[in-house]
Amino acid sequence: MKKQTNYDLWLRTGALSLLLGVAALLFWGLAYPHHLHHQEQLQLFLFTTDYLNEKLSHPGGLAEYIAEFLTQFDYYAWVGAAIIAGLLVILQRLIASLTRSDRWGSVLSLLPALAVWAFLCDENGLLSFPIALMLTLSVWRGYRLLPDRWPLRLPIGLIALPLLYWAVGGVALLFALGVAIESRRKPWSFALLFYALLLPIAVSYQLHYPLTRLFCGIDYYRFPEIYPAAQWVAIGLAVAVPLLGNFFFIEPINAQLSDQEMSIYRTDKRPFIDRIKAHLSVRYMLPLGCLLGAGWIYTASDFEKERLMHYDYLTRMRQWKAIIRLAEQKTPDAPFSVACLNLALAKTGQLGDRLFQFYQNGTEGLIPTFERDFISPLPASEVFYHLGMINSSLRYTFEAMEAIPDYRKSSRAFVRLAETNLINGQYAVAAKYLRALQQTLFYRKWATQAMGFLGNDRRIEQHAEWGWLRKARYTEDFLFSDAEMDNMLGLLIQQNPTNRLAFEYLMAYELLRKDLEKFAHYYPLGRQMGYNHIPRSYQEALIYLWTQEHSNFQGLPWSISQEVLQGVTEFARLYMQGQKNESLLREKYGKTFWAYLLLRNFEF
Amino acid sequence: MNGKLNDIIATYCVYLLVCLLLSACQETVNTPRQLNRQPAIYPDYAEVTIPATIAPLNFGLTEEEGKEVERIDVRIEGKQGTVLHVQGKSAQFPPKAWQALLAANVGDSLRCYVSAKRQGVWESYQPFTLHVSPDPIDYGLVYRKIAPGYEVYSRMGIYERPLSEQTERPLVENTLVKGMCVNCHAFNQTDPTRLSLHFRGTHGATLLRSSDGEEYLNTKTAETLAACVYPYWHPSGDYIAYSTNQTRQAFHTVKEERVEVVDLASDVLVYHPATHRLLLCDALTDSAHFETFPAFAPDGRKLYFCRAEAKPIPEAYQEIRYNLCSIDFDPEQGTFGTRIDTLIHAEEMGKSVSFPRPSFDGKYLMVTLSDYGNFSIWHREADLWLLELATNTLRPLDTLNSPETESFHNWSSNSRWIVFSSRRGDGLYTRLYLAHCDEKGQVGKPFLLPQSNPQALYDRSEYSYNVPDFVRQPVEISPKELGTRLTAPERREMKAVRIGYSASK
Repeated sequence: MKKQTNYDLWLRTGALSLLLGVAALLFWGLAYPHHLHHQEQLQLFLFTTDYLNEKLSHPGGLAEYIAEFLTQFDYYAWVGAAIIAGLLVILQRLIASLTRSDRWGSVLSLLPALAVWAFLCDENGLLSFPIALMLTLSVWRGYRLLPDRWPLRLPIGLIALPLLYWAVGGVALLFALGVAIESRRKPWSFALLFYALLLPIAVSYQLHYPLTRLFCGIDYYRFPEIYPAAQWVAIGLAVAVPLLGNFFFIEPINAQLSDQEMSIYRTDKRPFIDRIKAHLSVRYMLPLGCLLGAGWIYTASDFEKERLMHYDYLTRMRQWKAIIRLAEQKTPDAPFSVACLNLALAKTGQLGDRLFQFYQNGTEGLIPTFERDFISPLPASEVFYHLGMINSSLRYTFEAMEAIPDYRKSSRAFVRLAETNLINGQYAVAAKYLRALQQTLFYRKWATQAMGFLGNDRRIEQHAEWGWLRKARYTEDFLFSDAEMDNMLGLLIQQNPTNRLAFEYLMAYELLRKDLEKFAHYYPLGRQMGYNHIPRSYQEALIYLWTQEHSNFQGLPWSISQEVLQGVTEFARLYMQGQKNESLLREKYGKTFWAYLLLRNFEF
Repeated sequence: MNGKLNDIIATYCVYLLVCLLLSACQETVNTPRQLNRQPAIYPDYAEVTIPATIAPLNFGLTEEEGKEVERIDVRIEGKQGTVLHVQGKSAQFPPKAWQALLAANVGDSLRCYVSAKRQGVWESYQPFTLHVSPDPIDYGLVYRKIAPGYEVYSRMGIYERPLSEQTERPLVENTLVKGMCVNCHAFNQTDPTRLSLHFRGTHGATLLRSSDGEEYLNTKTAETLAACVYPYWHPSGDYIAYSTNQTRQAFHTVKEERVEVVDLASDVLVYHPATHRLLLCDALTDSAHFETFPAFAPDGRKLYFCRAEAKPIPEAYQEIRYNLCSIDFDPEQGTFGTRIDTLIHAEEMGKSVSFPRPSFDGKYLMVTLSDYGNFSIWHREADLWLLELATNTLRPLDTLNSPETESFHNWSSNSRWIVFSSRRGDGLYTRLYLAHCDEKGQVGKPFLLPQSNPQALYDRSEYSYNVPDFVRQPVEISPKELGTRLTAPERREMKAVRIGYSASK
């Protein structure tokens, strides 16, 4: 009996909240940190009154402003994780306080928080939704404290609703709905609900948003007019749990309930509910609930995307060795991550040697072609930047930012736009981006330092990265063409014959599209690149070319390693023997150019 | 009566209190160091001619290196003894006092005395002048705001800005309909009751408001290249000219250039709303030429347009040069003349014409000249030129031009004011400039569209301002109705009709 009491106490005193908070912190900090980095780079929170005013110009703007303020801390994933964990705990406590029932109420109060957690697992779910939910529940909580006299409650509701609606957007209607259900025997509560429904309609005559967005929220989800199921589940649970809590459990939540209402609790419903509860012991239901909750979060999570975001983050942070380590653990196969890996290999001088040690998906994994979205141009913009194709990097970055569906700007893009304009010597435009970055929390220092480069060509030329990129740029104009990437890379080398990165990309481009004629044509450009050996993939391509016209290795003009010579001989022997050797070929030579060239569509 | 008196006294007390508070915040500029130069201010309003109803020209001093401006003191004196005095971090003029000052000095000049406090020391500059023109300006401007991007667009919209105020209001923003892009907009000689507004996207349409009512058009027909763009109204309001262009974008690889917009084909055509007929004629749909940017003459009997010999694109994109041409138009019959006249042979100059805009008094025609192509807004060398129609003389508008792009432009209803877009601020973000044009065609120094805090606003704005046009009254558009009509599937189809030449020509 004593044990049971401790258990009750444990549930009631917030241990559940602690459990929730710790679980969320560990999840976001350890398992899902790059989703936080991803969120951070898709906004540009500015500490200016203009920015605040702009946010406050539409319903939900205050929630959006608070959310963006908090999201900027995702720059440090553990801080972002702590913020989300804190928000989920606050949400759970709010629901619990609205439910104000026995231990069951505490357990059920986890549900809306779990739904919000699931909502945030979607990389397009924005923090403005839980903020809006919290603010709404807070107002509801405060409203309950008012004496149950309509001359007081109705006018306050009439004033609070539009303010709340403007602050948090469509979720504010939850407050009116909750009050209407809670006080369902009082006509004024339905008047309040009707009034709430009129608010978005009235706003639609002034603001340039469709009615659905004004009802369902403008800024809760990155894509306009998409409302994920988790959002509705969270809203539904946020209303249902407190109301069901009141309905089901021991203490009516509102001391102001009428005698008639009290009698319902005491007579009609109680015995039935008690009978249900007697069969459902919290002792067993809580672990089961936790298990189900974990399953829910696991289902809502997308660890493949988390991995892609990890590649993206490491590329952004120029952590090339970490990218290669990540790929060594599990080879990437999406063009996005393969492009990041190839860039890392190139930046560490390993692209020629290790290109085929990893899965390759053609030229798409080297320089992905442009797509009109806010994610896929990013690796290509990074590749162009490091190659010295500054205008193309600038364009891909700008386009990625402009494609952000909720029309926000991007901190990451602003940094790159400032850099590319500095390299291009377009100082007035660079200064504009830098001044904006000076209004941020985490980019202020960098921007202030970069301001020192404005108008100072000499200093830029002395900068290790920018100076080199300035020298690597094209000086003669032509129009960019995706279809002629090899020509563009060739011109880049012509512009700067020491651009080894461009040479490695050119070689990789020809190898990946299996154009050995062009590979052989461009190969001599590498003579001045300072290689101490012929990179492995080039050796494999060269020896393959040689074997197409020669029966032995006599007179071979290149310094090909003995291992490669033996390899090609063995590969050719096994390959000629046909299908029975497929698995052996893949096992022994799967990570060679020959396998990429011949085995990909190999039919024995 | 007593109550009224009390109200007056109370009002004056409030005024007095405000004045006292303001004066308490102001420092006296005693024995400042005299500087022998005019102040460097942003925006540059020195020696400009302004309309009497323009919003306050607030400005700030541009910082000198290592010398932060602590405070500036500005006194503006009219010749009739009126004075406006402000002090602060920048010059922010109270709107009512500003309007009163301008109203009292119409046709006269204002002297602007600026002092600056740096490192605790006041310095006074040589005064500069603002000329208050007696020529009135229209109610406001309508323009599009969009980030200067490439193919993708973020938030954007069409906005209206009363010229006597410092706030703008959206006419339509692309948040209204998912995936929507708003671009070409046109009013009939600044009359917004006749408008053409083009929307692209899944719910694309052209909203046309004419004497025949309002319709949402599908301007693509089987006989035309693409949807209708670059609208220009016939002065009667009975017709509207469009061009239809197969457009592609390409991107430069060197730092000086960014975007190239080229047409693979283009034609000019005229829509007659009363009959829903789209009038096509051979001379304006010649496949051997690109025809674009139509504009009716103010008398409605001539249609100006740009025309270039068609060449393979993209190979010869730098060889495409447009001349300014015209063809007669008979508004009674809705027919065209037989002869195409070339007014500006830009090709011979090694230039290319875009955006012809005749002044509504029929005296001038303003164009943009660039080195090649028609999308001059991305050409740094693009400048504004003025053709005097009576003498057929063409001259560059040196007072308006800068080393950066000057491009789209329009005339006020009385043809005394010009609005144009320029990238001169930072080389990328387009801003709007206004300039006065006197009856002799002399164009004054342009001034940046005033804002309450121009330095902050323009610096923090992520948008370019483009396609500016004057309006003589507010534009009436209901976002709710617009959204409903755009998302509805109903569209008025145009009937393309190929017509012969005017019998009288």
